[in-house]
Parts: sequence; C-alpha cells; structure tokens
Amino acid sequence: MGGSTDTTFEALGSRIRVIIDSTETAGRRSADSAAAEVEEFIHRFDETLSRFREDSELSRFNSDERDVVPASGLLRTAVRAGLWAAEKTGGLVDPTLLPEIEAAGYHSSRTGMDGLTVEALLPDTPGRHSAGATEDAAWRDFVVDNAGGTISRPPGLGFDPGGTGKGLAADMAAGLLDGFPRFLISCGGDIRVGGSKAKEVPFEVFVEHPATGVKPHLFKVGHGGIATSGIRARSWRKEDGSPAHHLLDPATGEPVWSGLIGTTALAGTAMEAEALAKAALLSGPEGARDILGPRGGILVHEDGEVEVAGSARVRVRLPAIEGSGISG
Amino acid sequence: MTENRPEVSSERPRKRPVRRGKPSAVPVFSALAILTVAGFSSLTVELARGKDPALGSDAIAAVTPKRPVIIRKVIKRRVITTVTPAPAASPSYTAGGYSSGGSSYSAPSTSYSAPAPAPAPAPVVTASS
Repeated sequence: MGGSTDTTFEALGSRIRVIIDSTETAGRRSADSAAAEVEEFIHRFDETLSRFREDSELSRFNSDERDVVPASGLLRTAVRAGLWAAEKTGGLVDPTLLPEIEAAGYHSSRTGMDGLTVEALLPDTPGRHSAGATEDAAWRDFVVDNAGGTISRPPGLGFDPGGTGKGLAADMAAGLLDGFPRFLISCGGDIRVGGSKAKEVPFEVFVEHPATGVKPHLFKVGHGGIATSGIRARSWRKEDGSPAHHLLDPATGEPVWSGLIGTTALAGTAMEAEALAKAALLSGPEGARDILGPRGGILVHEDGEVEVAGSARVRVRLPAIEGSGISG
Repeated sequence: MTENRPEVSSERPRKRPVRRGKPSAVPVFSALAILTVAGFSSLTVELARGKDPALGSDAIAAVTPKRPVIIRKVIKRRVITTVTPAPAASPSYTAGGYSSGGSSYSAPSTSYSAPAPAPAPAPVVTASS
C-alpha cells in the first residue's frame, strides 16, 4: 500500500497524465488503484461527452428533437459547467457554436493529427481583432434541472463541451483523489493540482511555447488549476485553402486572429483556468492582460514574444530558433 | 641750558620681512606641458615601433599566441512563479450537478521565489491540445 504513481494514457483526444504521491495510504487505497479509478472515470467521461462518437449521450442529446431531454448526472454537470464558463467570460466561451465549428472544418476528431505550424497559419490570415459575444446568446436558452434529471433547450441547439471539457474532467477526477497528500491530473495540458502536501511541495508545470515547443516559463503550482489554449494544435486548412482553428469568435462564428497564438491561465480549478485561457486568447493582448492579470498567466504573441501577466509583468524575448523565423 | 637732543628710541628699527612672491603660473604650466608632451611623444614613438611597454618584452609577446575573441551572447531567462493555495472557494463538482461554489476571478496569490528541487519525476507541461 502507499507509494507513488505516474500514469499516462490517451483519452479525450489528448494525452492524460495522472501523478499521485502517497507516503501513506489514503484510506485503504493505494496510489495505483486510485490512478486506475481516475483512468476509468476519464474514459467514461469521454464516452459520454464526446461529440465525435455517434453513440455518446452528448450526440444523442444534440440530435434529440424534444424540448426537454432526460440527461445523466455527468451530462448535466458538463452542461452546467459550460454555461458557468459562458457566464463568467461574458459569453466569449460559448458552448453553442457547434454548427459554426463544424462549418469551419472541425467535424471529426483530430486525434493524432498535427496542426499547421504557426508560420503556415499566420501569414495568410486577415487583420487582427478581438472576439465579441453575440447579442442573442443561445446558451442562455439551456436550463438544467437536476431535481428532474433533465436538460431543456430549443430542439436543434447543440452543446459543445470543447471549451471546458478537459478541465472539467481533471477537476472531477481530482474529486476521486481526496485523502491523497499530493496529486496532479493533466488532461491534454489542462491541469488540476491538489493535496495538502502539494502546498508544501508544489508541482513544477512548464508552459510550452506554441510555435517552437521550447518551455520559456515555469509555474510552481501547489493548488488549483492551470490550463493553456492556443490556435496551433487544432488548426487546419479549409477547402478553399484558408487557415482555420478551433477558437471561434461568437460574434462571427469564424476563427479568431487576435494577435495571440497562445495563452496560459491560473485559476482555482482546471476548468476555470481553461475557460480563462480561451477567453484571454479570444480577447487579444489587451483583453488578455485584464483577464489573466488577477490570477496570473502567460500570453504568447504572434511574433513569439512571451509575456507574463499578473503582478509581475515581464516580457521575455528568447533567442530565435534557427529556421523558424519566430523567437522562442 | 637744556640740550635738545633728539629722542632716541632704545628699540632698534624693525626690519621688514622679505616676502617671497608665489611663482608665476606661466613657467609652472609651461614646464608641465613640456613634460607631458615629451612623455606622450616618447610613448608614441615606442608604440609606433611596435614596442608597447605594457606588453613587456618582444620575447614574451612572440611566445604568447594570439587568441581569437569569441563573443557569445547567451540569453536564457526563465521566470518562476510560485502559486500558493487560493483562499477563496473553488468551483465544486458533484455527481448530480455542477456548483460554482462562489468561485470568482479572484486569484491565488502569486509570488516569485527561488526554485526548489524538482519534486516531479518528469516535467509536467501545459500546452494547447
């Protein structure tokens, strides 16, 4: 019993990593068995909430023609989390842009597919602007009834957990590790840290530069969440050859070119960090500083420059990576 | 009859001290200027002949190989931020539903500190995925 474990597996279209340190047993569980529980939960989360699986509860819900649809606790939780993120970000992280994201070309899983390089992605793009929320935010039409076990919304209005899903999965999985002194769950880079010992011995979390892959910044996280959003990992070319990525402007339904290529946010939970990171990227440099400032975070500008947001604002210019044209 | 004698003072007349005047500035500055010019001229001649007094003798200079000057500019900067626990309540999740638990944008306090030994067995990375 006891010991530590460091497990990696694939789910949610990403790499999942679970680190559990345990000098003593948490109840009767070992770190290994707890990690197995986390893995099982995240696979169940994926099977329930993937929009790329026709048999997932989410896909069935999105195609259901009833106004009021019975929903599992997990789906209700995911929808409430998405609505919470939309509210907190002023509608920037909008979970109802399903038709728009599919029209932009993201209609099937991109697991294992490389995105465009930043150099290939940026030069063809039009002018830079910040995203804006829609006047008639459709996400406000969702009503989650936990007592009745249902979700209501106008038929045809789909829900996309893409803006909050991985962070939510990490947070919910963290709930399975209560009692362990120190743990970290990373769902594709959206990370939740917990345990009383983690406050004393924080986890070192490196921020990866979206253009070069170097790691210009290190956060020591003893509690809460940290997440990164960027335009490169899930990017592609449309049929007309124009570049696209998965972060859409709710006002236009089109990919946003805000002047930032990546943002990292710190927050109390992974899901909140994920929402903040996305909202920051959508907002452009000025808005991102406002969003990330209170808790801290990172902005990566189109020219590769790394900026630290928060109480200590530092702009770091690293040496250019040969051949990349972008400094790291 | 009184004899009018001139009054004779018993004190001897005071001899005024002869004060030496300050030397004129012109010859002093002239001398300094001449010495300076002479010194620099001498050094200039020596250097023109390739004999730098600061480098010592010809023998030592010949033995010492010329070392190429390498200018290497290393710019590597990493900012480390320690994130301490947030005092505010965080969103909580239950099987039945999601509760924001009063979470807001208030931040965990951040402070810069010296790095501690790496506790994790391998680096943990946050990146867009």
